[in-house]
Amino acid sequence: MTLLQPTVGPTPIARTPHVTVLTDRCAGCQECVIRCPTGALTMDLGAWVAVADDNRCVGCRQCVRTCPFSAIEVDGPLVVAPREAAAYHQVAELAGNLEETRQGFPTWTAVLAETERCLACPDPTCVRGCPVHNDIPSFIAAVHRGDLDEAHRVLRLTSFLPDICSRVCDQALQCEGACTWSLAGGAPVAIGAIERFITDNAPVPALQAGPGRGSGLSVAVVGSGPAGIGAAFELVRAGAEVTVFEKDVRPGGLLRWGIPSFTLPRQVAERPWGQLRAAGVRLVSGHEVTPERVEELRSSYDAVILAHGAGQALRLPVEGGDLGGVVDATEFLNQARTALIQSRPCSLLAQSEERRGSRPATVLVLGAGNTAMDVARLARRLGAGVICVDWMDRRFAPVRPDELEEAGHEGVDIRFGRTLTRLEGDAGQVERAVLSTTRQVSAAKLPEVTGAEVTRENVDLVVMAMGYRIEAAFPGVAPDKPITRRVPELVDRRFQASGLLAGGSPAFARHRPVGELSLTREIGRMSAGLGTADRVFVAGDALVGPSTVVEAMAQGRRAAEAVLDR
Amino acid sequence: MTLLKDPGLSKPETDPVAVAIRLRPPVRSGVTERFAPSDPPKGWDLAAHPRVARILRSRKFQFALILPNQIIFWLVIGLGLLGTVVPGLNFGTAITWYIWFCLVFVMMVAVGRAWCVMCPFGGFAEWIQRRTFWQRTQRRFGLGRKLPEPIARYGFLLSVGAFLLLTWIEEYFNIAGPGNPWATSFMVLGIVGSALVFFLVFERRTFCRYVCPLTALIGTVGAMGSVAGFRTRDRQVCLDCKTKDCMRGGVNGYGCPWYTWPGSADSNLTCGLCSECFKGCPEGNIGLYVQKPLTSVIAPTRRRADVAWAVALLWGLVLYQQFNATNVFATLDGWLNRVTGLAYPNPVDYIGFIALIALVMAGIVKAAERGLSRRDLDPALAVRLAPYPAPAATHLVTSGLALSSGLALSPGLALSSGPGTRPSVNFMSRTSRFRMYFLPLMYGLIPVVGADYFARQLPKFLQHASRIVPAIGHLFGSGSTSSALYNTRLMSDPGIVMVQVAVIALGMFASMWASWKISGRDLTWISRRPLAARAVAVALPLACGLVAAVLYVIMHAAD
Repeated sequence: MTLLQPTVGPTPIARTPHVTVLTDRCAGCQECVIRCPTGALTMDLGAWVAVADDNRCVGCRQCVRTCPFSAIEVDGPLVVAPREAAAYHQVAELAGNLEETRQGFPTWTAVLAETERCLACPDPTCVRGCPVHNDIPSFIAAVHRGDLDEAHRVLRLTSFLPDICSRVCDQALQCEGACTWSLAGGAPVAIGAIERFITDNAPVPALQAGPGRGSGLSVAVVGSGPAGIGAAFELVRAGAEVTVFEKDVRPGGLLRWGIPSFTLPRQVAERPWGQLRAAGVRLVSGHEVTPERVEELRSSYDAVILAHGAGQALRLPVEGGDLGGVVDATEFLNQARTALIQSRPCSLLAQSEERRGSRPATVLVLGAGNTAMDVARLARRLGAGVICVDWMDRRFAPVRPDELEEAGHEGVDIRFGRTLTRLEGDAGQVERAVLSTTRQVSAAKLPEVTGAEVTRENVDLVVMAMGYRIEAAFPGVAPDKPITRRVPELVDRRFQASGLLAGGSPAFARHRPVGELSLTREIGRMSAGLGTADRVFVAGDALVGPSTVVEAMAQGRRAAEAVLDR
Repeated sequence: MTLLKDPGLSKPETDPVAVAIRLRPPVRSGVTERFAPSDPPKGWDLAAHPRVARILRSRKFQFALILPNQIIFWLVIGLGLLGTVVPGLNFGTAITWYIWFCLVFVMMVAVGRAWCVMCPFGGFAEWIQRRTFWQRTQRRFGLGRKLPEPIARYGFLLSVGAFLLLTWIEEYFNIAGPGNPWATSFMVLGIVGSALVFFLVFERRTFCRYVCPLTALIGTVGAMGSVAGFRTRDRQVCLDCKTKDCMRGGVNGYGCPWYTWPGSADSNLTCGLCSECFKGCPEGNIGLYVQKPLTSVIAPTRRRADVAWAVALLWGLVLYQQFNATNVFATLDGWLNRVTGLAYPNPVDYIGFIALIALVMAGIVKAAERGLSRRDLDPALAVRLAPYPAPAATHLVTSGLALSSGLALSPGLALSSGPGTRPSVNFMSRTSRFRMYFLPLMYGLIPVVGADYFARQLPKFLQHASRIVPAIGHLFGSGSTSSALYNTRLMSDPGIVMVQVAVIALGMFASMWASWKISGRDLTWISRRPLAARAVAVALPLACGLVAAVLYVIMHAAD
């Protein structure tokens, strides 16, 4: 890594970090020495304590976080260039526009500047923060050398969905939040944007099927979403025979229907299944697997992996909730997507056209999470006015600020601290929503409905986008609620030694405890490999409840590894 | 539906991120030479015996050692407050001052920190901190703070200060001789209470390591002991370990409460013998070693400034305790009390005397350094060369390689290089010519200082130890001041003096021998006149021993 002058703002400053070794407590265990990214630490053999070269120190505080006896202190600036921001494509004309809004690095110059910021840490916390444990320093180093093929080779060791993950992952709570710069209070390496650059500029390599340790194995996978994709990927490249059962006509699960094209373009979303089928994965679509069928599958195949997701939409039990024009997010996403692709009006909005005349429809979206933002932004592209309400306080709502900002740019009216009290309609169709205020005193407490302010909004469509839950699809072999991902009291010593847990709740990670989050994800990943019955495994949202694409893929891979290990 | 296993208890054999781990290699060159002088012989590992290992592995091991002392000391507290005021008949005072305080020194000299492993003060507070008597828990009571560095950098000196204060209080209230039951109780309660506060504010055994009034004394005098403590069996395994469970805590053991890493322990100074590292090490790479007596006095490569000053101050204190039994002191103290309006022990002569002795020791060393040390030596570099045998180090010095500070030297010397490299300079790490003499010479005095403390307790033991029997009997209504054993002495006063002088002689010769060995390794190569340096090194404990012996003769076995 090129050492740069320490900067705060545009003007370099002369101060360098200063390392103080507390020689009374330092036991010379060299935990800091072996983990220092710049080799600024070595040993004083006489005193048997660590010694630091301030001139080589970049202030990343890795040593502070890893020291078992807290015997080292660092003060001073972070010696790193400012983070390069990836572009955002502000859409001029929203109506019917499905152009991708988030952009990657446009040029080699921009991405190389960002790769320079990577310290290539010896015990990289970013890798632990990544749910699938991509070898991030390696692929960044490959990009730095200009070798995108090598970068793809590194990514392929652990991930089949780099083009997707780089677009949809919340890196702030994963790899970037766990980056050593982030843990030190600074701006992390833009890992997601670098990964995006790789996939934008070099095609994701085709999947090579076995032979391997899976040769001779025949495995059934139920569900073709990210978890199923992860399982199929791992199995087929090990030489196993894979059959995926999908109840929908087209595969992809959430990737196909849950994430709009302006975030995840269609050709990117369809790439994984194209490659899986080319590699020999057999897809049985339009085929819903019933609980009874699972037993048949178990006897016909060597193992069964249930990756059926968490598809039951949550609905708010509110007065008027059974009126026409009140739908869940799944229904809206499917209908809206089809309408936009086919450039025709959305039937859900057309229902109210007669009543409202030429006035644009008003859509009320309940929730402010990923799904709600996708719903809202799709509705805007359908020409509707959109109000988003979430009952949580803005300060405590676990929402992605980038998505909120994008939705705000696109004209979505987002209101926190509001809840839907009742719906009023006429002739069986919803016409008005009565909203009340809520009050939330802390993140740990649920909001209370105060009713201090009551507003009435004219609405034409209400979309309940408050999330999903697991369905009791396979009693006895799959959970009907998420497994408890309780981090054990004695945490994995390797995670602790890396210093990730001592990083606390960095500002870049929205003050969330990135170390604990990575451990809970690790529990989920390990759980996918444990099985629920003989030769039956569960992975993805079906195991842990609604989570993320990358976690689901990681769990699918882990379940497949467990099958291959038997 | 449940998972077939608990994910919380499952741990992948391989680190899930193994492919991305590219740790730098630890510094290994020079390691063997550096620790060779202080590593015990491989075969002297008590834990190699399966039965010993089984005992050490038991989580109830330390609890079983602490419990009897815990019972005794709570009895001491209770009986001190509620029992007879006659000190010789009160079990609390009898057990504490006639037996325990003598026995502790025997344990120090024989074993080292044997008392620490069974201490009821730290043990009690640790039970509360850990919320368990012996289990391995993850939840702790308390704030878990670290002792602030501005205090921690002075190491044992905080404990020395506490010991000086406690001794002054003991003298003021005459707690120990012949013993004051009520005051004894409050003193013990005070120690337990302080321990509890520290354990609830700070992490690990911060109290035991830094603050306990006895830790400096036990640590320094205990360096004479024959138990090396828990040490690594194979240092390369420790250097390769990526998790350091012995320091952070593992499945079966807590992280070292004493801030010690078995991989680098070169003395028994800070090993509390709690066996947590032994239980926690996933590689089974830790043993409980014994060593020849005085090894931890002679062998350590890294000598600590806090230990050296602790020895000087403790020497001042024990001399004070001898001097205050003389008529000269009585006159001086009386005069000071009249002038200041204070009572015995006047703080002015108390602190003044102790400080004076410490400064006299420092002055002697300074004079020796001025007269003997080589002027062509860079102390900062010389300290780093100290691990190497004198001939090799001398060669490096005379060949000019050591004259320029900051240079990387010959293979095998993993020294920091580069203009920006500098160790943190504070009390503990500061280097100077004075310290190059002061630290080794004070270490050499440990046996004679320890012997003096032991000898100082002997009158109480030899005159009053037999009172423990009527004191116990008194609890059940049978002992009294007219009991035969109440007035039985184990030895007459002249006999006691002879024993004291003999103990001092033993300590003095041990110190002279230790100083001869220490100076051979640490002083000859930095001195213009090596033989003179060794002579000074041996003369110092001789002089100290003679002074102590003469004082004992003058004291006539005063307790």
